[in-house]
Amino acid sequence: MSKIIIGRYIPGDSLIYKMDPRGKLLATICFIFFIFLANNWITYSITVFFSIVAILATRLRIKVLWDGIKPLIWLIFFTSLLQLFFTTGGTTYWQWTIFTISSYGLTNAVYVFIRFTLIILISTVMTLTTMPLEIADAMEWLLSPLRLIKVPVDKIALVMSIALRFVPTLFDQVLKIMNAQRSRGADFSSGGLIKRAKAIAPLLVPLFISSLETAIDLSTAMESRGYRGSQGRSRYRILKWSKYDLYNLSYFVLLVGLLLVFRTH
Amino acid sequence: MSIEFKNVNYVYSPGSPLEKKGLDNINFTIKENKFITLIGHTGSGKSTLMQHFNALLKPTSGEIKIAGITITPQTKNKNLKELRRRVSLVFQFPEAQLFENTVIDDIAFGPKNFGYTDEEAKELAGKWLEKVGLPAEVATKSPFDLSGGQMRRVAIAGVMAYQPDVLCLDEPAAGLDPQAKAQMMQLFLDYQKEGHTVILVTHNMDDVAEYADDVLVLEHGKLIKHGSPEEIFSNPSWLKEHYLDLPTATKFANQLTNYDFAETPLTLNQLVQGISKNVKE
Amino acid sequence: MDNIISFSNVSLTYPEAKRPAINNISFNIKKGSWTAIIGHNGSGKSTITRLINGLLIPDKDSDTIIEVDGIKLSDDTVWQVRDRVGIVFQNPDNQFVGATVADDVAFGLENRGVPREQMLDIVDKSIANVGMMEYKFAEPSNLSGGQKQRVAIAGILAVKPQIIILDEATSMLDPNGRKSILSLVRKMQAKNNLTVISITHDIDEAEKADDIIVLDDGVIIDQGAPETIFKQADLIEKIGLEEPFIYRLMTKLRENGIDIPNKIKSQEELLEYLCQLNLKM
Repeated sequence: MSKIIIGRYIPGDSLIYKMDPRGKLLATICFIFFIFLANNWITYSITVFFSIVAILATRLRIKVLWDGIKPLIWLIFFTSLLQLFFTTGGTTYWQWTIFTISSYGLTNAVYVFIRFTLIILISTVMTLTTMPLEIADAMEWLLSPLRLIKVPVDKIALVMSIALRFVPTLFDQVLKIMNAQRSRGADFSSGGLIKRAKAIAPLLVPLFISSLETAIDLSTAMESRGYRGSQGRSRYRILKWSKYDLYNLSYFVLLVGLLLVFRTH
Repeated sequence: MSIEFKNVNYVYSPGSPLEKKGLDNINFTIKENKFITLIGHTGSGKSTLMQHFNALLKPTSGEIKIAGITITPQTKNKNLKELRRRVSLVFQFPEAQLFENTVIDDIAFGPKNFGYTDEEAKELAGKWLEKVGLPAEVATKSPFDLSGGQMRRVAIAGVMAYQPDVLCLDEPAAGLDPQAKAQMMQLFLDYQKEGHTVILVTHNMDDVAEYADDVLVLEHGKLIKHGSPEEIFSNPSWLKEHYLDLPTATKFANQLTNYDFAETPLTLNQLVQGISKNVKE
Repeated sequence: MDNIISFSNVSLTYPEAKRPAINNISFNIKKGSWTAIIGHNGSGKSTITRLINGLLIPDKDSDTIIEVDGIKLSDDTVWQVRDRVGIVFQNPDNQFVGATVADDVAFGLENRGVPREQMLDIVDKSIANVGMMEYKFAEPSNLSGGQKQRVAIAGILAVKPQIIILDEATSMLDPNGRKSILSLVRKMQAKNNLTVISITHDIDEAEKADDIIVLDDGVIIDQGAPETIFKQADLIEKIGLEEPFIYRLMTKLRENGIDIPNKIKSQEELLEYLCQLNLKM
């Protein structure tokens, strides 16, 4: 349960932490798109360099970032291998039935590997340095144009923030129920697939019931505290741009600029 | 036989930044078939200690002997079934663990897990349904149609039905009204008198005074005192130092400044006797 | 004194229930008083709180009137009434809406559209009032039950209600948490001239109220000052509660042939009387 990526925020106060979550979220999303501008050794080197600087700026231990990549490492290798064996063109070094290793394939495999790894690293940088709640706030801001087409963005945002707030409560509850059922002789970790699936009912039913109770209690509490929909509500938590976001923006523009100049047209 | 803790330590998330000592060199021996209470503040390590009784948590170092079974850091998860049949835990608000379609099935869940046949389990379930004071007609009802107090009884029946040698309960009466609570405490007392060990985790000093043979006091993961209620409550300044309360009767007795009690009264009856003695002499 | 809440001929039947949970009750609560509503689990205590602020709507009857602070409760006035009534619920976790202490305290203010500049100020003051300033940015999972209830109180006081209802608000806390919450509410009551309604089966808490309403199966069977209520041992027994300690003590002393005058109604008076008694001998 400790491997859950979401909410793996690590408190800190380096430069990156001071940036507005909206800027960080936007930069991360744009990064995922603009990385495709890189198409030769120079542009890939530039991207790697920029990413390493960004990672160093978090001042987090490298191990924490590695934990972010570890679960996906096989997927990264697998995708790279597909590229390696199935891309044709350039000089062919080796061939067997449908598998080919060519110079194009080799380059592509390396590119895909770099691209994939960087995307995960940069996303991890964002989630590690931004509180889940701030990410929710940033998403609300990002979604706010949808208000025009009557999407209840405020409600979605409230639901997101409440859901995040109850994640630890839910984990506590799971642990508590598991302990109680284990004491009654339930076994969650052995036996075949069917036995394990059966063993899950004593866990899921109480969890469902307690979540339902929480939801009812919570809605009662919210209503008695004067919640009547998002109309006319004011906001306590607001986001503010600062000079750090200017750094974020300039850094990003510089990267895109360099990519545009040095990419193969 | 006795319950023995030898140099037991427990560390939460060892090696991580969240590393935290849960139990700090716990040593004690208590005779079985007694009524034992475990007291201490929220966060004192009571629930960590309790989870060691049936190896939901295993010691990081040290050794535990309970119900004739030895638990060490090397104890394998596979061999725990017999331990859990003999030593059972009831957590706070145990009604949260109910899940079956009918009350009787829910009570029979534990017995079935511990090797009773379906019929035997149902029979035990029926017997314990009655013992916890529920009418026979609730057997076929869904546990979720019962009141909170009734659900609590079903949950407790579900743990007592396989008759563990050691029954450990964390605030089993929290949130119940006083009469329901008194009935429940009587049930545990009877169970202990029948020759089982009952361990009660509680904040209520009146219960400690009323029922306990032996008291364990925890603070910051350490066992700071172990003795009879008379020993524990004989030192008000020590209790105050550790932010622990006295039983209501004792507090009252301590304010009767011109009375002379041979033994500090711990319960209402002792207080009444003490007062009578003073007044009539 | 004026009445701040008055119920006349109020009944409530839950959908699909055979009998009404609240059956034609009428009562008044005085402004600035501390009223305890007692009764066993399922007697309808919590239903009353939900009727006071319009979370539940009473059965249709032309005689039914619920009035809060001079406002007759109806669809149009329900939000005005909710501005005047704050409820602290039983489960500390399930009423904590915000992601942090500050966010949670702000929730009620946000709902009322209070401008942000004012809100910053009010939130800080309210948190400071309940002594939680060092936890301003703490998340609920890092707080104890008692601390969460403090935050709930801060969130309620932030919107300046006239009435605060404790709906078994201390029943899930340990004794220290319970004591600290009750003394906090007492302090706030004096400071802000609040009316407090406490739904409880902690009899020692009820004993300190100004007024007690006794509920049994949805009907009010008595209302009055603690000493008139607790004198009736049979009434207390009937509703499944236990008499407060000093009343039990007095009964037992009388049984033991010690004469205790009827006029004694507090612990202090009893202590004084008993000390005197021992002097004379």
